[in-house]
Amino acid sequence: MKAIVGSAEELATLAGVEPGLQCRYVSIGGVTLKVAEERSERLASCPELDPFLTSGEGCDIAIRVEWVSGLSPMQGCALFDSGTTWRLYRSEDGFQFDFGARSLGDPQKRLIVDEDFRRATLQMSARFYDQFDAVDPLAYPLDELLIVHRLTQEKAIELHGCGIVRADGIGNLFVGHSGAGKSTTTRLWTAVEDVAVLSDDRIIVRRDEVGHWGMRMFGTPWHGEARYASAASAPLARIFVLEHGLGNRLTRLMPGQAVGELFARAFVPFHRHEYLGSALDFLQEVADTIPVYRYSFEPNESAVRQIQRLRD
Amino acid sequence: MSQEVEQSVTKKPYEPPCLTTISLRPEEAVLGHCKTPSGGPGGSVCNNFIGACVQNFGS
Repeated sequence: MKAIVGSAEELATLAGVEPGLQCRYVSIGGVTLKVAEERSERLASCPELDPFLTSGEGCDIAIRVEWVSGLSPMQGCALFDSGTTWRLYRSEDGFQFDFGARSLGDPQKRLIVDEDFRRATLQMSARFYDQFDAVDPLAYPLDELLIVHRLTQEKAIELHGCGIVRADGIGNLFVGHSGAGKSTTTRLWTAVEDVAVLSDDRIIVRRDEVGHWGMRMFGTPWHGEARYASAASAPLARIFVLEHGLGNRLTRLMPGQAVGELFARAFVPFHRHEYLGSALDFLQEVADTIPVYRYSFEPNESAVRQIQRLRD
Repeated sequence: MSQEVEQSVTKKPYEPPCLTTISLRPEEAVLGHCKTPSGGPGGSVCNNFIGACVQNFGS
């Protein structure tokens, strides 16, 4: 799963041998970021990322952070515009992400990354960030965008869901759009059973390289209202597509239906058809491996009891 | 002949393809909004316009 990036010399440089550079490793969902930053009192780490810091022995994405006096807006057509805080452009060897609302003028930071999402340069605008005492260059949505793009190159995907791990160490994943009941599900399970919550909003699913369960789910820093964000992972036994309903009703989905429902709740870069293809291929594998149910539920303890009684 | 009869008995009736509509939520999927609420040491700030986790210590 891990890939070492670059030559030994390059890695030594990134590891902080170069004077003035400090290095940190962040591991999310099986993807390790190596961030080499110029030493500066302005640099801080988002508290949300702290549980995901690792000592690091290799990395999947190497990022070098540079401070520049200012950044000029890109001319020409964007490949993709989020409509709010980021835009994507083609660059010479890959892609360029510009961050910042257009209404605030020039971009605040710019990520230039290769096609494989293996190495990147992140330019921070001193003109903008000078007004703050400290900043984390990786701060959302940059961290999540980078991971989501990297996952397209691996057998993995990020889903909008909460991951609940029961006392036997086996996990259930409850996926749903905003308002579908992820926070409610988290609250109900933590009240009824001694469970671990990997995340109440974003879960990464990938092939299980260790066990025999087929798939594994990982917590992420991008939590929901209940603020569960764990760096742990667990084998994935079942997936439930949440819906509010009267009574509790479980319906096993055919793989084709499951792929569609999971895709609608996945975080996939939409600007390139190869990425969509890779996401659909992987979701097909997930649906062929893991039972997927539609779960229409009532927001009370009986919703938990129904799952506890479930035998596939 | 008997083989043909047997096949016709076991053949499943034709079922037309079923089209299912799946609702996408692009506003959620493109990571355009702020995910990190305010709070934390030093008064972390993260909003739609800054798009960053920044801190103003002591302010």
